[in-house]
Amino acid sequence: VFRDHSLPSSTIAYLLSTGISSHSSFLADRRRSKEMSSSHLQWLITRNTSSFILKKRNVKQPFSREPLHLTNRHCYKYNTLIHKNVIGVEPAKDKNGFMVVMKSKKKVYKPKASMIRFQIKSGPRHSLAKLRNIVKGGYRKDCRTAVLKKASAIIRSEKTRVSKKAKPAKKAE
Amino acid sequence: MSKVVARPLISVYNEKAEASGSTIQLPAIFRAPIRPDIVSFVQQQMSMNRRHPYCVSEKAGHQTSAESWGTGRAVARIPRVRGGGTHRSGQGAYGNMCRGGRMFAPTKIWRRWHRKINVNQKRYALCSAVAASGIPSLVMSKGHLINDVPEMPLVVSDKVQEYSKTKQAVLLLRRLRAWNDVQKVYKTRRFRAGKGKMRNRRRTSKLGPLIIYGKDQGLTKAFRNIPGVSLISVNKLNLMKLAPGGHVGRFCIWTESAFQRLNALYGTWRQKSKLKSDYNLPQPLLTGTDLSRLLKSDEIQKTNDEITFRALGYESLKMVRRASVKRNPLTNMRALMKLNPYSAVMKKSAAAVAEARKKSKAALLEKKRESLVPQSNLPVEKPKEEVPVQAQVQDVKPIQPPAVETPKPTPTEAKKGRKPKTAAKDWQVEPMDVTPASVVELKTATAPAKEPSPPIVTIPEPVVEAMEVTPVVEPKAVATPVKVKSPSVVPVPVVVPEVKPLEKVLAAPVEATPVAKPVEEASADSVPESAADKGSKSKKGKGKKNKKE
Repeated sequence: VFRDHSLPSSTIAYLLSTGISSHSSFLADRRRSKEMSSSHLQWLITRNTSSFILKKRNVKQPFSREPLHLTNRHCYKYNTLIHKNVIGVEPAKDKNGFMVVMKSKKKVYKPKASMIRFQIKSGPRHSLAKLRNIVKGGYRKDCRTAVLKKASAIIRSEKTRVSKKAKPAKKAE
Repeated sequence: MSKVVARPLISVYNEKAEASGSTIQLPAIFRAPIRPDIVSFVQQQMSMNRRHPYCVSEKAGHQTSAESWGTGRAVARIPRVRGGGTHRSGQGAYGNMCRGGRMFAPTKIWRRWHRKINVNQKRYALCSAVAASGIPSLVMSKGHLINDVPEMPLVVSDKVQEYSKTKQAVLLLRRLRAWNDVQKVYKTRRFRAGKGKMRNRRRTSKLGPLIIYGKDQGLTKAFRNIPGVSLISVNKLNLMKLAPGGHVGRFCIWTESAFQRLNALYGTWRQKSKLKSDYNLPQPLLTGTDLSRLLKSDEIQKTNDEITFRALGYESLKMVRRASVKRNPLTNMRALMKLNPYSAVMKKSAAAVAEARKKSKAALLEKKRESLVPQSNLPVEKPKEEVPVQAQVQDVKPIQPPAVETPKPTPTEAKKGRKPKTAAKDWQVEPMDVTPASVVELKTATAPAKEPSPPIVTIPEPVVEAMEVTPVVEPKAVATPVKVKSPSVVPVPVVVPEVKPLEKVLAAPVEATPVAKPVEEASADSVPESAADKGSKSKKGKGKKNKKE
């Protein structure tokens, strides 16, 4: 994405302010999400002022507190609020597999309906494969590694730790 | 210029927070340009307007008739209070450094407290703020919890305006899933940090939803006691409420009549505002904000202007500059091959040279060992030697020098359809010439490892062994023919003195051919056998060879 760093971001925001289409019939049918607030504009507004930004000492790039964030680093690509397409992974409540959360492209302006959650619980390898297929299929290909990393971290955390318990048992004997 | 904005239909929600079926087209103000810089500036100016003037008394510090004692009295020259009989007499006065003196630059009441803001600017800011309140991401970034809200912007039926009980109001907010935002307010109630505590600003909390109504028929009284909730009339939209703190994106709940009034108040671009004299919505600079679409658009992609292209981040016309990972050619084979395509050839031949060296060394070793130990003892030794030799051979397996010989009638080769590489052959001639003897010994060494059945000690056997070597180097496909050919030892020794067989020993894939040639006629059966056996093994071999080749 082109960034002209010579201009302050407010000016850039100014330049990118929501526009009106000059193609009458063409855009009449368009969904508003495509015209209005593009992800770029939203990014320029929220990149410095957002309740989800976490700035820490000696860390240049701020963290992000967004719940679905894949990398927890405040950046354009992985931001979960800005884009139409968002994929996220959450731990499942029953500790079996993980919940995939995806944003519906069509329902961006209906916060309740926009997030689709479904659980994948087919064992570690297969769940990851399923997740990979979703992403490969074109839904946020650029987030592939991040999503898989997080999913595998969730799966790993759900494994029960047996080794530590076994040792004291042996000692008792 | 006629402008059309695609404005979708927003559904109105009834008291039970169900889509009541009626819809309103989104007012044009929600498409106004969002300018956080203007909003911030205007909000700052506006906030100055509610200040109360303060100043110090103008008499303060001057209600004395102090005069300096001058020099020569061993005291500082500051004016001192006259007279006597009190502590005050003789004390310094007037100066900002003196106790009881006047302060530096006493604050004046005529300080410019309020700011004048251009009407158009104020309206611009307001339009931006309203537009931003319709975008869920901006509202969430502001901190409102709207994850479960049915739609943005949120419009409720006019029945709400008639609410008189807080209970009703709470119920409505719960149903609309706006209660989370109110709960957030409850949770963030705390005492202010600082002196504001004792200045009548004791408690602070976050802000909740903003309710914008068309007509107050009791609504204010119902909602006002809920912490965090603010109420304003559409006719008196307030930037301080729509963008508190100068940040856009407050969570707004509109009543139906309020929502419908917006077009009349602010106009659509096509139509001026009806209620504001000669006002229309602000014009944006760009018609489209999606940068990626812009960059992919035909107009830009087909630009022939180099400068524009470069400015957009393209390396040159038609080429996009992409961040790529730098791979080190010294460690990464692919990167090296990109820079120097001949490196592949060099590496292969280097591998072949290394292998040749290995073999010659092994041969030398064998020679030395043989000379030390009588042949009768060889079988005992051989198992020991087997291991290193085998290891060697196995190492050789993956590193297969390219095929050397051009004509290869052997079944192995025929199956594999390998094409000879004359270059390699020529290259390999040298080592061949140097160590003809070693080749034989090499063969003896390998033979015991490979074939258990035939006696290994005899010289002719080495040839056989040599043949065995070939299979080792080459996938097992060769092994079978070799085995078959063992009985045909006689013809084999004939082959030994030839340069060709040596070459083939060194060049794994080629090895089969020299031996095979004389043997072919002898072991016609072997061919089908080998062919048959090659069923699975040959595939492997093929794969490996193909990779090498």
